[in-house]
Amino acid sequence: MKQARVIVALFVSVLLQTAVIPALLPGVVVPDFVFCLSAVVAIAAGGRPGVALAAVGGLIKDGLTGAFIGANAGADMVAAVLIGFVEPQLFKESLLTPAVVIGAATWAREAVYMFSIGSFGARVDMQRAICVVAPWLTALNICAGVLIYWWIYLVPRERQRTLIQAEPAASMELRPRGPGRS
Amino acid sequence: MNKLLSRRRAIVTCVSVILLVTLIYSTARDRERLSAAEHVLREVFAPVARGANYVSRAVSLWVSFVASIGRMKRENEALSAEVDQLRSEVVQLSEAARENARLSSLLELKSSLDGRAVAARVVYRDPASWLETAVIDKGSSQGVGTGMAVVGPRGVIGRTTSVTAHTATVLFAIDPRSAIGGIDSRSRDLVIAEGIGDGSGLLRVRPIGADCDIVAGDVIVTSGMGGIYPKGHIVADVISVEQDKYGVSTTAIARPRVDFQRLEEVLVLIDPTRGAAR
Repeated sequence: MKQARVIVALFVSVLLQTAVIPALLPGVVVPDFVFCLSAVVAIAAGGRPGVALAAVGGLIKDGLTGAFIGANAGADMVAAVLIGFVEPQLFKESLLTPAVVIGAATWAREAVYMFSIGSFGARVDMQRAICVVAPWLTALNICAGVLIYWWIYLVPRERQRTLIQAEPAASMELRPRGPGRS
Repeated sequence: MNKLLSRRRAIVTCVSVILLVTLIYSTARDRERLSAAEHVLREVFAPVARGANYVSRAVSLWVSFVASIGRMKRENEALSAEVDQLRSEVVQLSEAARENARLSSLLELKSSLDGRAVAARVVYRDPASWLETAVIDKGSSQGVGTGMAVVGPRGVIGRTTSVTAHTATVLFAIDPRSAIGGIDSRSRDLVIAEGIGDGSGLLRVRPIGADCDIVAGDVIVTSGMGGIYPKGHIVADVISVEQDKYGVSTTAIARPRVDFQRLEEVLVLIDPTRGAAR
Protein backbone atom coordinates (compact mmCIF):
# COMPACT_ATOMS: atom_id res chain seq x y z
CA MET A 1 0.00 0.00 0.00
CA LYS A 2 1.56 3.26 -1.11
CA GLN A 3 1.65 6.17 1.34
CA ALA A 4 1.10 8.70 -1.44
CA ARG A 5 -2.12 6.96 -2.41
CA VAL A 6 -3.29 7.16 1.22
CA ILE A 7 -2.44 10.87 1.52
CA VAL A 8 -4.28 11.67 -1.73
CA ALA A 9 -7.19 9.59 -0.53
CA LEU A 10 -7.26 11.47 2.79
CA PHE A 11 -7.28 14.84 1.06
CA VAL A 12 -10.00 13.75 -1.39
CA SER A 13 -12.02 12.23 1.45
CA VAL A 14 -11.98 15.43 3.47
CA LEU A 15 -12.99 17.43 0.39
CA LEU A 16 -15.76 15.03 -0.57
CA GLN A 17 -17.12 14.87 2.96
CA THR A 18 -17.06 18.57 3.78
CA ALA A 19 -17.50 20.40 0.46
CA VAL A 20 -18.47 18.29 -2.52
CA ILE A 21 -21.24 15.97 -1.37
CA PRO A 22 -23.05 18.55 0.83
CA ALA A 23 -23.11 20.82 -2.26
CA LEU A 24 -24.28 18.08 -4.62
CA LEU A 25 -26.84 16.51 -2.30
CA PRO A 26 -27.79 19.09 0.31
CA GLY A 27 -29.53 17.83 3.44
CA VAL A 28 -28.62 14.16 3.11
CA VAL A 29 -26.47 11.98 5.36
CA VAL A 30 -22.93 12.07 4.00
CA PRO A 31 -20.69 8.98 4.22
CA ASP A 32 -17.73 9.37 6.60
CA PHE A 33 -15.00 8.98 4.00
CA VAL A 34 -12.20 9.84 6.44
CA PHE A 35 -13.33 7.16 8.85
CA CYS A 36 -13.72 4.69 5.96
CA LEU A 37 -10.18 5.43 4.87
CA SER A 38 -8.70 4.83 8.31
CA ALA A 39 -10.76 1.63 8.64
CA VAL A 40 -9.54 0.44 5.24
CA VAL A 41 -5.92 1.15 6.22
CA ALA A 42 -6.45 -0.73 9.48
CA ILE A 43 -7.85 -3.73 7.57
CA ALA A 44 -5.11 -3.68 4.96
CA ALA A 45 -2.03 -2.71 6.95
CA GLY A 46 -2.90 -3.36 10.56
CA GLY A 47 -4.06 -1.44 13.58
CA ARG A 48 -1.12 0.89 14.08
CA PRO A 49 -1.19 2.76 10.74
CA GLY A 50 -4.96 2.69 10.93
CA VAL A 51 -4.94 4.37 14.33
CA ALA A 52 -2.39 6.95 13.18
CA LEU A 53 -4.48 7.84 10.16
CA ALA A 54 -7.65 7.88 12.27
CA ALA A 55 -5.98 10.35 14.62
CA VAL A 56 -4.91 12.66 11.79
CA GLY A 57 -8.16 12.39 9.85
CA GLY A 58 -10.30 12.68 12.97
CA LEU A 59 -8.45 15.79 14.12
CA ILE A 60 -8.91 17.38 10.69
CA LYS A 61 -12.66 16.72 10.91
CA ASP A 62 -12.72 18.08 14.45
CA GLY A 63 -10.70 21.12 13.48
CA LEU A 64 -13.12 21.92 10.67
CA THR A 65 -16.20 21.53 12.86
CA GLY A 66 -14.64 23.55 15.68
CA ALA A 67 -16.27 21.84 18.67
CA PHE A 68 -15.51 18.76 20.76
CA ILE A 69 -12.07 18.57 19.24
CA GLY A 70 -10.82 15.03 19.66
CA ALA A 71 -14.22 13.38 19.69
CA ASN A 72 -14.06 12.34 16.05
CA ALA A 73 -10.40 11.46 16.36
CA GLY A 74 -11.02 9.38 19.48
CA ALA A 75 -13.98 7.55 17.96
CA ASP A 76 -12.11 6.81 14.73
CA MET A 77 -9.09 5.64 16.68
CA VAL A 78 -11.14 3.29 18.84
CA ALA A 79 -12.68 1.80 15.68
CA ALA A 80 -9.22 1.41 14.14
CA VAL A 81 -7.92 -0.26 17.29
CA LEU A 82 -10.84 -2.71 17.24
CA ILE A 83 -10.19 -3.49 13.57
CA GLY A 84 -6.50 -3.91 14.42
CA PHE A 85 -7.43 -6.64 16.91
CA VAL A 86 -9.22 -8.75 14.28
CA GLU A 87 -7.00 -7.80 11.32
CA PRO A 88 -4.68 -10.85 11.44
CA GLN A 89 -7.67 -13.18 11.10
CA LEU A 90 -9.25 -11.37 8.14
CA PHE A 91 -9.42 -12.73 4.58
CA LYS A 92 -8.35 -9.67 2.69
CA GLU A 93 -8.87 -10.70 -0.91
CA SER A 94 -12.65 -10.35 -0.84
CA LEU A 95 -14.68 -7.15 -0.94
CA LEU A 96 -17.07 -8.72 1.55
CA THR A 97 -14.46 -8.36 4.31
CA PRO A 98 -14.28 -4.52 4.30
CA ALA A 99 -18.06 -4.39 3.92
CA VAL A 100 -18.66 -6.40 7.09
CA VAL A 101 -15.82 -4.86 9.09
CA ILE A 102 -16.66 -1.25 8.17
CA GLY A 103 -20.36 -1.87 8.87
CA ALA A 104 -19.60 -3.13 12.37
CA ALA A 105 -16.92 -0.49 12.97
CA THR A 106 -19.34 2.28 12.03
CA TRP A 107 -21.68 1.30 14.85
CA ALA A 108 -18.75 1.12 17.29
CA ARG A 109 -17.45 4.49 16.12
CA GLU A 110 -20.84 6.16 16.38
CA ALA A 111 -21.36 4.74 19.86
CA VAL A 112 -18.00 6.10 21.05
CA TYR A 113 -18.56 9.46 19.37
CA MET A 114 -22.03 9.96 20.81
CA PHE A 115 -20.82 8.85 24.24
CA SER A 116 -17.93 11.33 24.04
CA ILE A 117 -19.92 14.36 23.04
CA GLY A 118 -22.88 13.33 25.22
CA SER A 119 -20.57 13.11 28.22
CA PHE A 120 -19.37 16.65 27.65
CA GLY A 121 -22.78 18.26 27.42
CA ALA A 122 -24.00 17.81 23.85
CA ARG A 123 -27.65 16.83 23.46
CA VAL A 124 -27.87 13.55 21.53
CA ASP A 125 -31.22 12.34 20.18
CA MET A 126 -30.63 8.64 20.73
CA GLN A 127 -33.77 7.50 18.91
CA ARG A 128 -32.88 9.43 15.78
CA ALA A 129 -29.24 8.39 16.04
CA ILE A 130 -30.06 4.67 16.31
CA CYS A 131 -33.06 4.50 13.97
CA VAL A 132 -32.09 6.98 11.25
CA VAL A 133 -28.52 8.24 11.25
CA ALA A 134 -26.58 5.10 12.16
CA PRO A 135 -28.32 2.72 9.69
CA TRP A 136 -27.99 5.21 6.83
CA LEU A 137 -24.43 6.00 7.75
CA THR A 138 -23.60 2.31 7.96
CA ALA A 139 -24.96 1.64 4.48
CA LEU A 140 -23.18 4.64 3.00
CA ASN A 141 -19.91 3.86 4.80
CA ILE A 142 -20.01 0.28 3.55
CA CYS A 143 -20.39 1.48 -0.05
CA ALA A 144 -17.69 4.11 0.30
CA GLY A 145 -15.38 1.80 2.26
CA VAL A 146 -15.61 -0.99 -0.29
CA LEU A 147 -14.68 1.44 -3.07
CA ILE A 148 -11.77 2.87 -1.09
CA TYR A 149 -10.56 -0.65 -0.19
CA TRP A 150 -10.68 -1.68 -3.83
CA TRP A 151 -8.70 1.38 -4.90
CA ILE A 152 -6.21 1.46 -1.98
CA TYR A 153 -5.57 -2.26 -1.52
CA LEU A 154 -6.97 -4.54 -4.22
CA VAL A 155 -5.92 -2.61 -7.33
CA PRO A 156 -2.22 -2.30 -6.33
CA ARG A 157 -2.23 -5.97 -5.22
CA GLU A 158 -3.62 -7.09 -8.55
CA ARG A 159 -1.03 -5.00 -10.40
CA GLN A 160 1.76 -6.43 -8.26
CA ARG A 161 0.53 -9.97 -8.89
CA THR A 162 0.47 -9.38 -12.64
CA LEU A 163 4.03 -8.07 -12.54
CA ILE A 164 5.26 -11.08 -10.53
CA GLN A 165 3.63 -13.46 -12.99
CA ALA A 166 5.11 -11.62 -15.98
CA GLU A 167 8.68 -11.59 -14.57
CA PRO A 168 9.54 -15.36 -14.80
CA ALA A 169 8.19 -15.55 -18.32
CA ALA A 170 10.42 -12.66 -19.38
CA SER A 171 13.50 -14.18 -17.72
CA MET A 172 12.76 -17.51 -19.46
CA GLU A 173 12.82 -15.79 -22.84
CA LEU A 174 16.15 -14.04 -22.18
CA ARG A 175 17.93 -17.23 -21.00
CA PRO A 176 20.67 -18.34 -23.56
CA ARG A 177 20.26 -21.67 -25.33
CA GLY A 178 22.37 -24.53 -23.95
CA PRO A 179 25.04 -26.40 -26.02
CA GLY A 180 23.97 -29.38 -28.14
CA ARG A 181 20.39 -28.12 -28.51
CA SER A 182 19.17 -27.38 -31.97
CA MET B 1 10.86 -7.52 25.30
CA ASN B 2 7.17 -8.30 24.81
CA LYS B 3 6.47 -6.97 28.28
CA LEU B 4 8.31 -3.76 27.41
CA LEU B 5 6.31 -3.38 24.20
CA SER B 6 2.97 -3.96 25.85
CA ARG B 7 3.91 -1.52 28.62
CA ARG B 8 4.86 1.06 25.99
CA ARG B 9 1.59 0.44 24.18
CA ALA B 10 -0.36 0.89 27.40
CA ILE B 11 1.44 4.14 28.13
CA VAL B 12 0.77 5.47 24.61
CA THR B 13 -2.89 4.48 24.89
CA CYS B 14 -3.26 6.13 28.28
CA VAL B 15 -1.55 9.31 27.13
CA SER B 16 -3.72 9.40 24.00
CA VAL B 17 -6.92 8.93 25.97
CA ILE B 18 -5.93 11.61 28.48
CA LEU B 19 -4.98 14.00 25.69
CA LEU B 20 -8.21 13.42 23.79
CA VAL B 21 -10.40 13.76 26.87
CA THR B 22 -8.62 16.98 27.79
CA LEU B 23 -9.05 18.29 24.26
CA ILE B 24 -12.73 17.39 24.13
CA TYR B 25 -13.30 18.88 27.57
CA SER B 26 -11.52 22.11 26.74
CA THR B 27 -13.33 22.55 23.43
CA ALA B 28 -16.78 21.36 24.47
CA ARG B 29 -17.80 24.79 25.73
CA ASP B 30 -18.45 27.75 23.47
CA ARG B 31 -15.17 29.38 22.61
CA GLU B 32 -14.55 32.88 21.42
CA ARG B 33 -11.10 32.14 20.07
CA LEU B 34 -9.91 29.19 18.08
CA SER B 35 -6.50 27.66 18.60
CA ALA B 36 -3.64 28.43 16.21
CA ALA B 37 -3.80 24.92 14.77
CA GLU B 38 -7.52 25.29 14.04
CA HIS B 39 -6.87 28.70 12.47
CA VAL B 40 -4.24 27.28 10.17
CA LEU B 41 -6.35 24.27 9.28
CA ARG B 42 -9.36 26.38 8.40
CA GLU B 43 -7.45 29.04 6.53
CA VAL B 44 -5.65 26.42 4.47
CA PHE B 45 -8.70 24.34 3.83
CA ALA B 46 -11.21 27.16 3.21
CA PRO B 47 -10.12 28.15 -0.35
CA VAL B 48 -9.89 24.52 -1.43
CA ALA B 49 -13.30 23.75 0.03
CA ARG B 50 -14.74 26.90 -1.56
CA GLY B 51 -13.40 25.87 -4.97
CA ALA B 52 -14.68 22.32 -4.59
CA ASN B 53 -18.02 23.64 -3.41
CA TYR B 54 -18.26 25.99 -6.39
CA VAL B 55 -17.41 23.24 -8.86
CA SER B 56 -19.83 20.85 -7.17
CA ARG B 57 -22.66 23.36 -7.33
CA ALA B 58 -21.95 24.07 -10.98
CA VAL B 59 -21.93 20.35 -11.73
CA SER B 60 -25.09 19.86 -9.69
CA LEU B 61 -26.86 22.66 -11.55
CA TRP B 62 -25.75 21.32 -14.90
CA VAL B 63 -26.81 17.77 -14.03
CA SER B 64 -30.21 18.93 -12.78
CA PHE B 65 -30.62 21.02 -15.93
CA VAL B 66 -29.78 18.06 -18.16
CA ALA B 67 -32.07 15.82 -16.11
CA SER B 68 -34.92 18.30 -16.43
CA ILE B 69 -34.69 18.62 -20.23
CA GLY B 70 -36.93 15.61 -20.85
CA ARG B 71 -39.51 16.86 -18.34
CA MET B 72 -39.40 20.38 -19.80
CA LYS B 73 -39.86 18.97 -23.30
CA ARG B 74 -42.90 16.99 -22.20
CA GLU B 75 -44.29 20.03 -20.38
CA ASN B 76 -43.63 22.20 -23.39
CA GLU B 77 -45.45 19.79 -25.69
CA ALA B 78 -48.40 19.57 -23.30
CA LEU B 79 -48.55 23.37 -22.94
CA SER B 80 -48.31 23.86 -26.71
CA ALA B 81 -51.20 21.46 -27.21
CA GLU B 82 -53.17 23.30 -24.54
CA VAL B 83 -52.41 26.66 -26.12
CA ASP B 84 -53.53 25.37 -29.54
CA GLN B 85 -56.75 24.04 -28.03
CA LEU B 86 -57.42 27.28 -26.17
CA ARG B 87 -56.70 29.33 -29.28
CA SER B 88 -59.14 27.20 -31.23
CA GLU B 89 -61.74 27.67 -28.49
CA VAL B 90 -61.18 31.43 -28.48
CA VAL B 91 -61.66 31.56 -32.24
CA GLN B 92 -64.81 29.45 -31.99
CA LEU B 93 -66.21 31.58 -29.17
CA SER B 94 -65.48 34.88 -30.86
CA GLU B 95 -66.97 33.52 -34.06
CA ALA B 96 -70.05 32.47 -32.11
CA ALA B 97 -70.23 35.92 -30.53
CA ARG B 98 -70.04 37.62 -33.92
CA GLU B 99 -72.66 35.27 -35.36
CA ASN B 100 -74.84 35.94 -32.36
CA ALA B 101 -74.60 39.69 -32.92
CA ARG B 102 -75.41 39.33 -36.62
CA LEU B 103 -78.37 37.05 -36.00
CA SER B 104 -79.65 39.34 -33.26
CA SER B 105 -79.69 42.32 -35.60
CA LEU B 106 -81.29 40.19 -38.31
CA LEU B 107 -83.93 39.05 -35.87
CA GLU B 108 -84.52 42.64 -34.84
CA LEU B 109 -84.99 43.57 -38.50
CA LYS B 110 -87.28 40.63 -39.10
CA SER B 111 -89.52 41.56 -36.20
CA SER B 112 -89.66 45.12 -37.45
CA LEU B 113 -91.04 44.02 -40.82
CA ASP B 114 -94.72 43.68 -41.61
CA GLY B 115 -94.62 40.86 -44.12
CA ARG B 116 -93.26 37.37 -44.01
CA ALA B 117 -89.49 37.04 -44.23
CA VAL B 118 -87.10 34.10 -44.36
CA ALA B 119 -83.62 34.24 -42.82
CA ALA B 120 -81.00 32.60 -44.98
CA ARG B 121 -77.30 31.93 -44.84
CA VAL B 122 -74.91 32.71 -47.67
CA VAL B 123 -73.50 29.33 -48.72
CA TYR B 124 -71.53 30.21 -51.79
CA ARG B 125 -69.95 33.22 -53.42
CA ASP B 126 -67.89 33.60 -56.50
CA PRO B 127 -64.37 33.23 -55.09
CA ALA B 128 -62.91 35.74 -57.54
CA SER B 129 -65.80 38.18 -56.94
CA TRP B 130 -66.23 38.73 -60.66
CA LEU B 131 -69.95 38.31 -60.22
CA GLU B 132 -71.78 40.39 -57.62
CA THR B 133 -73.98 37.48 -56.64
CA ALA B 134 -74.26 34.96 -53.83
CA VAL B 135 -76.12 31.73 -53.26
CA ILE B 136 -78.24 31.39 -50.13
CA ASP B 137 -79.47 28.22 -48.46
CA LYS B 138 -83.20 28.89 -48.81
CA GLY B 139 -85.20 28.15 -51.94
CA SER B 140 -88.66 27.48 -53.21
CA SER B 141 -89.29 24.91 -50.46
CA GLN B 142 -89.13 27.75 -47.96
CA GLY B 143 -91.26 30.05 -50.10
CA VAL B 144 -88.44 31.91 -51.80
CA GLY B 145 -89.15 32.86 -55.40
CA THR B 146 -87.42 34.88 -58.07
CA GLY B 147 -87.45 38.66 -57.86
CA MET B 148 -87.77 38.85 -54.10
CA ALA B 149 -86.03 41.55 -52.12
CA VAL B 150 -83.10 40.53 -49.97
CA VAL B 151 -82.22 42.84 -47.10
CA GLY B 152 -79.98 42.92 -44.08
CA PRO B 153 -79.73 44.96 -40.87
CA ARG B 154 -77.68 47.60 -42.67
CA GLY B 155 -79.88 47.93 -45.71
CA VAL B 156 -80.78 46.51 -49.12
CA ILE B 157 -78.64 43.65 -50.35
CA GLY B 158 -80.26 42.80 -53.64
CA ARG B 159 -82.89 40.50 -55.13
CA THR B 160 -83.25 36.84 -55.85
CA THR B 161 -82.76 35.77 -59.46
CA SER B 162 -82.73 32.01 -59.88
CA VAL B 163 -84.25 29.67 -57.34
CA THR B 164 -83.99 25.93 -56.71
CA ALA B 165 -85.82 23.91 -54.07
CA HIS B 166 -83.29 24.71 -51.36
CA THR B 167 -81.12 27.50 -52.76
CA ALA B 168 -81.51 30.85 -54.39
CA THR B 169 -79.16 33.24 -56.15
CA VAL B 170 -79.05 36.80 -54.89
CA LEU B 171 -78.09 39.55 -57.30
CA PHE B 172 -76.43 42.27 -55.27
CA ALA B 173 -77.52 45.86 -55.54
CA ILE B 174 -74.01 46.81 -56.67
CA ASP B 175 -74.23 44.56 -59.77
CA PRO B 176 -74.67 46.60 -63.01
CA ARG B 177 -77.76 44.49 -63.79
CA SER B 178 -79.44 45.75 -60.65
CA ALA B 179 -81.61 48.88 -60.49
CA ILE B 180 -83.46 49.91 -57.38
CA GLY B 181 -86.21 52.50 -57.23
CA GLY B 182 -85.28 54.87 -54.44
CA ILE B 183 -86.07 58.17 -52.84
CA ASP B 184 -83.85 60.83 -51.36
CA SER B 185 -84.82 60.79 -47.71
CA ARG B 186 -84.20 64.53 -47.35
CA SER B 187 -85.58 66.08 -50.56
CA ARG B 188 -88.04 63.24 -51.32
CA ASP B 189 -86.89 63.21 -54.94
CA LEU B 190 -87.27 59.90 -56.74
CA VAL B 191 -84.10 58.27 -57.99
CA ILE B 192 -82.84 55.04 -59.50
CA ALA B 193 -79.80 53.39 -57.87
CA GLU B 194 -77.82 51.20 -60.26
CA GLY B 195 -74.69 49.13 -59.67
CA ILE B 196 -71.59 50.58 -61.28
CA GLY B 197 -69.96 47.15 -61.60
CA ASP B 198 -66.35 48.34 -61.64
CA GLY B 199 -65.43 46.50 -58.45
CA SER B 200 -65.67 49.66 -56.37
CA GLY B 201 -68.89 48.49 -54.67
CA LEU B 202 -70.57 51.85 -55.35
CA LEU B 203 -73.95 52.79 -56.83
CA ARG B 204 -74.77 55.37 -59.44
CA VAL B 205 -77.83 57.35 -58.42
CA ARG B 206 -79.84 58.92 -61.29
CA PRO B 207 -82.69 61.29 -60.56
CA ILE B 208 -85.94 60.60 -62.35
CA GLY B 209 -87.09 64.19 -62.57
CA ALA B 210 -85.21 67.04 -64.24
CA ASP B 211 -85.12 69.26 -61.19
CA CYS B 212 -83.45 67.25 -58.54
CA ASP B 213 -82.11 68.27 -55.17
CA ILE B 214 -79.45 65.78 -54.13
CA VAL B 215 -76.31 66.50 -52.18
CA ALA B 216 -73.53 64.48 -50.63
CA GLY B 217 -74.57 63.00 -47.33
CA ASP B 218 -78.15 62.32 -48.38
CA VAL B 219 -79.51 58.87 -47.67
CA ILE B 220 -81.24 56.96 -50.42
CA VAL B 221 -83.99 54.60 -49.29
CA THR B 222 -86.26 52.30 -51.27
CA SER B 223 -89.33 54.00 -52.67
CA GLY B 224 -91.52 50.87 -52.71
CA MET B 225 -92.68 51.66 -56.22
CA GLY B 226 -90.76 49.07 -58.23
CA GLY B 227 -92.74 46.14 -56.95
CA ILE B 228 -89.69 44.33 -55.60
CA TYR B 229 -88.35 46.33 -52.71
CA PRO B 230 -90.71 47.44 -49.99
CA LYS B 231 -90.58 51.07 -48.95
CA GLY B 232 -88.13 52.48 -46.41
CA HIS B 233 -85.08 50.22 -46.60
CA ILE B 234 -81.72 52.02 -46.75
CA VAL B 235 -80.00 51.63 -50.09
CA ALA B 236 -76.88 53.83 -49.83
CA ASP B 237 -75.38 57.11 -48.67
CA VAL B 238 -74.60 59.72 -51.30
CA ILE B 239 -70.90 60.51 -51.28
CA SER B 240 -70.58 62.79 -54.32
CA VAL B 241 -72.72 64.60 -56.89
CA GLU B 242 -71.74 65.25 -60.50
CA GLN B 243 -73.31 67.58 -63.06
CA ASP B 244 -73.04 66.79 -66.78
CA LYS B 245 -71.04 69.22 -68.89
CA TYR B 246 -74.18 71.09 -70.00
CA GLY B 247 -75.55 71.33 -66.49
CA VAL B 248 -78.77 69.59 -67.51
CA SER B 249 -78.66 66.41 -65.51
CA THR B 250 -77.19 65.39 -62.17
CA THR B 251 -75.70 62.05 -61.23
CA ALA B 252 -74.65 61.02 -57.74
CA ILE B 253 -72.37 58.31 -56.46
CA ALA B 254 -73.53 56.47 -53.36
CA ARG B 255 -71.94 53.94 -51.07
CA PRO B 256 -74.13 51.12 -49.71
CA ARG B 257 -73.91 50.53 -45.98
CA VAL B 258 -73.92 46.78 -46.52
CA ASP B 259 -70.47 45.14 -46.60
CA PHE B 260 -70.98 42.83 -49.57
CA GLN B 261 -67.58 41.21 -49.06
CA ARG B 262 -68.51 39.96 -45.61
CA LEU B 263 -72.08 38.94 -46.07
CA GLU B 264 -73.15 35.87 -44.11
CA GLU B 265 -76.82 36.07 -43.16
CA VAL B 266 -79.63 37.75 -45.10
CA LEU B 267 -83.35 38.15 -44.93
CA VAL B 268 -85.52 37.32 -47.96
CA LEU B 269 -88.77 39.29 -48.02
CA ILE B 270 -91.37 36.81 -49.20
CA ASP B 271 -94.18 39.33 -49.35
CA PRO B 272 -92.73 42.48 -50.93
CA THR B 273 -95.85 44.56 -50.64
CA ARG B 274 -95.96 44.06 -46.87
CA GLY B 275 -92.26 44.07 -46.16
CA ALA B 276 -91.86 47.75 -45.63
CA ALA B 277 -89.56 48.79 -42.86
CA ARG B 278 -91.44 50.30 -39.93
